[in-house]
Amino acid sequence: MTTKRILLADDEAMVLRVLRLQLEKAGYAVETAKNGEEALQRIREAAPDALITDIEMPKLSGEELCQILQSEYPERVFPVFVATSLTDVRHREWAQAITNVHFLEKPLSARQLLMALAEYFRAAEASAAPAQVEP
Amino acid sequence: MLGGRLAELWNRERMGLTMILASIAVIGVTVYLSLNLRNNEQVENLRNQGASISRILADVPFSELRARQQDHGPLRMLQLGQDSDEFAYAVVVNGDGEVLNAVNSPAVDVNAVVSGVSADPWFGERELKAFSDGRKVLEFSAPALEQEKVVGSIRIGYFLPTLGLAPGQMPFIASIALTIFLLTPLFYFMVRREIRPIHAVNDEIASRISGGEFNSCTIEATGELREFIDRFNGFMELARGKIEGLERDNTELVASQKLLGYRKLRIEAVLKAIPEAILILGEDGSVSYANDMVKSMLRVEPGDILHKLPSQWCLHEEALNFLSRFEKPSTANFYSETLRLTSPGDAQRKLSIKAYPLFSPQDPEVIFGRLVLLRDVTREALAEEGRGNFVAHVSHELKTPLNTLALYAEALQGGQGEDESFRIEAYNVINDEVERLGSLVDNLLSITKIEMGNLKIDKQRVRLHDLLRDAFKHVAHSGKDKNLKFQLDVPAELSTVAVDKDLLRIAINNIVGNAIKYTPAGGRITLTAEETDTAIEIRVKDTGIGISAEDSDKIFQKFYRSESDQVREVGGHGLGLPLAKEIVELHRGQLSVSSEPGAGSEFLIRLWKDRALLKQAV
Repeated sequence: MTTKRILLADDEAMVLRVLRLQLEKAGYAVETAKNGEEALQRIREAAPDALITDIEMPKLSGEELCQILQSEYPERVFPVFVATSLTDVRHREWAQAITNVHFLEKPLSARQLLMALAEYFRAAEASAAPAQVEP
Repeated sequence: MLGGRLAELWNRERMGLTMILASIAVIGVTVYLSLNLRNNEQVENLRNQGASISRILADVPFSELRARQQDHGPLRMLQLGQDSDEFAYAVVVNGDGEVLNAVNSPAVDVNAVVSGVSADPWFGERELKAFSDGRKVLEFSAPALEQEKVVGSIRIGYFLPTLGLAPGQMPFIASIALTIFLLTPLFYFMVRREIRPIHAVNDEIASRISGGEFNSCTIEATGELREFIDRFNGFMELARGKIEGLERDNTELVASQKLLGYRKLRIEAVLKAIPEAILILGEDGSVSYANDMVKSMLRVEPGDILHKLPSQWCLHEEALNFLSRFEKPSTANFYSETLRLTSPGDAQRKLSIKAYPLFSPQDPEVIFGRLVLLRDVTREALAEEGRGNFVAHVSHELKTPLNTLALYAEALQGGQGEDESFRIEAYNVINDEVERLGSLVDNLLSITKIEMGNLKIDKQRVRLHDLLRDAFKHVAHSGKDKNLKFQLDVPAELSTVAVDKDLLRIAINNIVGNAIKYTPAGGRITLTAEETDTAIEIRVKDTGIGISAEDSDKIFQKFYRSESDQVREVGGHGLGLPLAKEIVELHRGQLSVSSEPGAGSEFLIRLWKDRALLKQAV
C-alpha cells in the first residue's frame, strides 16, 4: 500500500502542527497550507489523496476552495473533509453542490479523523478492487 | 325728496286725508245729484208745458194760425206767455214746409230750423241738435187742421236746460257743503280717538320687534282690541317658550361641539406624537387620515393624499402592492409584512407595515376601513443581522482555541505524551490558548456591557503617571519572553484626569498587548504621554509589522482579522482594539492609529482635560 498524501488546510498553526504529528505517526504523508489559496496551489501542483480543511480561513475560505475545486476538477476522486460545527446548517447548504465531501465536527479529534480516513480509504479500495481483477 | 315727504305725510295722516278726499267727493256727488234733479224737473215741466200748448194750438183754426202782416196771432200770445230763457220758437208750416207764421227767440234762425229738419205731421216730441250757440232744443209738434184735414204742422221749440247752478240754489248747496265740511274733521277726530289704542298697540309691537323682545303687551283696552291684545300676548308667550327651548338646545349644541373639537384635537395630538406612520383607509381604500410621519416613511405630504386611492399617490411599489388590496373588498384579516424598499434613495430601507380592520361600532360584521401602521425597521433589521453575525463570530472565536486545546489534550493522552519536547510544547500551547480564551471572554463581556449600556463607568481623578506606569509594566511583563525593549516616557507632573482606571487599564493593556503581538523579537515598544493646553495625549509606538492602509480603517471593527499571513501567524480574536476604542470613547476621548507597514505603528489616545474643554471638543 502506497503512502497516502494528506493535505491539511487551517489558519491555526498549532492545529496544523498537532494534526501533522498525529497523521504522520499513523503513516500518512502530510502537507499543510495556512489558507485556502495555498491549499489550492498545492492541489494544482499535485492532487492529494485527501484534503482536510477548515472553513474560516484568510484569503480563500474552505467554502470557496471547495467551490473552485468542484468547477476545476469535476472528476475529482480525492475526498474533502471539512471541519465545521454540526450546528451550522449554512455549511450543509453550500456543500450539497460539492461531490465527495465529508464533515468533521469541531472541536476536532485526531483519533476520529484517523478513523474517518481509514474507513474512507478501505471503502475506496474495496470498491476499486473488483475493477482491478476484471479482464 | 318731495315724494318722500308726501309718502310720509300719507303714512301718518292717511286717515284724515282719506276723509277729506271722501268729503270732497261726497260734496261733489251731492251737488251733481241736486243739479241733475233740478234739471230733470225743468225738462219735465217743459214737456208738460209743450204737450199742452201743442194740443191747444191744434184746436185753433188753421186760418187763425196764419200770420197776417205783422200780426202773428196766437203765436205772439204764446211767446209772450213763455219764459224767455226757455222758449226757442213757434212755427206754423203748410204741407210743403213753407213757413206761414213764426215767432222766435233772437238766438234762433227759424228758416234754418225748418229747412234743416222736416216737420212731424202729427203730435210728437223730439230732441233736435244744437243750433248756432250749441244749445239743444226739445221740439213739440202738432197737426194744423182745416175742416178736419191736416194742412200743415205746428212746431214749438224749447231750449233744453243746461246743467248749472241757478243763483237761487247757491245757499242750499253751500249749506250742504258746509255741513259736510264741518262734519269731516269731527268724524276724523272721533275716528282718531277710536283708533288711538290700535296705534299704541302697533307702536308697542314695533318696539318689541326692533328691541328683539318677546314681552307681553301691557296696553289697557276694551272690546275687540282687548281680545286682540290677549291673543297677541298668548302668541308671544308661545314664541318665548319656543325661543327659550331653541336657546337651550343651541347652548347644549355649542357645548357638545366644543367638547367634540377638544376631543378631536386631543386625538390628533396623540396621533401626531406616535412615532409610527398612521394611515386610515376608508371602505374604498382611499385615505381618510394620515399623520405627519407618513412623510418620512413614504415620501408624501399627508395633505396631498387625503381622499385618494393608494394607486394615485403611493410611490413605492412594495407599499402599493400591500395597500392596493384594500381598494377591493377584502377579508377582515390582519395583514402584516416587512417591506424592503427598492426605489432610488430608499434602497435598503425596511418598513414594517401592518393593517388592522376597523369594525363598525353598530355592526361588528361590517368593516368600514383599515388602520395601517408603518414603522421604519431598517435599524432593527441591521441590529438583528449584527447580532446574528456577532453570535457567529463569538462561537467561532471560542471554538478556535477550544479546537487547539482539544487536539493537544488528545495528543498528550495518546502516544505523543511520551515525547518530552512535545509535552513542553503542549503545555505552552495549552497555556497560551487558555489565556487567549480568558482574554477573549473578558473582552467580550466588557464590550457587550459597554454596547448594552450596562457598564457603570466609575470616574475618579487619578494620577495618570502612576496608572500608565503600572499598566505598562504589567503588560510588558507578559511579553518579556519575546526579547523586546520597553520604554516608558511619562512625565510625573501630568495633570490628574477623571477616568475609570480599571477600564483605562484594559484599553492600555489591549493596545500595548497588540503592539507586543505584532512586533518581532528585538523590536521596541514605547509608551509616552504629554500634556497640551486642552488634552493629554498618550502614544503607544512599536517597531512591528505595521498596518496596511486598508487594514487601518478596519482594525477597530469587532472580530476583524487581517488577511495578512504575518498577522494570521499570531493568534488574535479581533476584540482587543475595538474594546480599547469603546473605552476611550466612553471617556469622550479619541483613539487613532498611524502606521507605516514594515516599520511600525503608533496608537494615539487623546483625553480631554476638563469638562468645559470636553464640551468644546464635543
